[in-house]
Amino acid sequence: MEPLSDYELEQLLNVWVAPDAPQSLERKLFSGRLRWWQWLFGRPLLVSHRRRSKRLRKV
Amino acid sequence: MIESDFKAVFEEYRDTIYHFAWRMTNSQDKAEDITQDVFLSLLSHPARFDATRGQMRSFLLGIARNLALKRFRKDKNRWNALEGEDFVAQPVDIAGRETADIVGAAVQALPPFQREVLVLAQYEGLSLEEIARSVEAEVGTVKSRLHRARENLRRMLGPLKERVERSSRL
Repeated sequence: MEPLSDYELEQLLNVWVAPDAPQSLERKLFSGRLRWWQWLFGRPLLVSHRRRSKRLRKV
Repeated sequence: MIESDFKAVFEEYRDTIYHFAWRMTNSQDKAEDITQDVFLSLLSHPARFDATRGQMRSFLLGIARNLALKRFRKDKNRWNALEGEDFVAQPVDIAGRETADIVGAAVQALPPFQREVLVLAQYEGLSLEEIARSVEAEVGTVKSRLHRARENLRRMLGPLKERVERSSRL
């Protein structure tokens, strides 16, 4: 079998087209859910720090 | 980062990131999750982007790449084949299949390290230097992975030569 030339490979690769990002992505990122996630991201450190302080006080 | 800046970045790069994630994972759900996580990561740590070290596009693609690889690592079979230096592709069976599906399956069959450089170069149009920054590798390594990826694809897609020649004649 004769191998594909660069040009032929290029042509074939261009046939494979990806779909665009779905609209649901925008809704997920810019609805109230985002602020909930932002809140969640900042939270665990605060909680663990408080717990550690309480534990230390008990000791 | 204020919300309007974030929205502008999202508008400009969401399709780029989604396309890359989709081509890496072959799944709309996974691509959506990865794209969402990329932008959440930017929102949580905007200072990690350093404009002196490269463009926003390569930075975001780098995050997407790491998230996609994290998923591959969970799959032990694929983890072993991430680099895939020994991977030698076989010609694919093309009977009764659409050309786009065959090409997609061939790219999916590449080991992840070859697939990511191929996707970034071929479909996202990144330079070798930009790819090297995104995948945290040397330019020479990127070049050789890209070369191996193209050789493997040439071998896998060889049976389509006749179809390409036919469509060129039309």
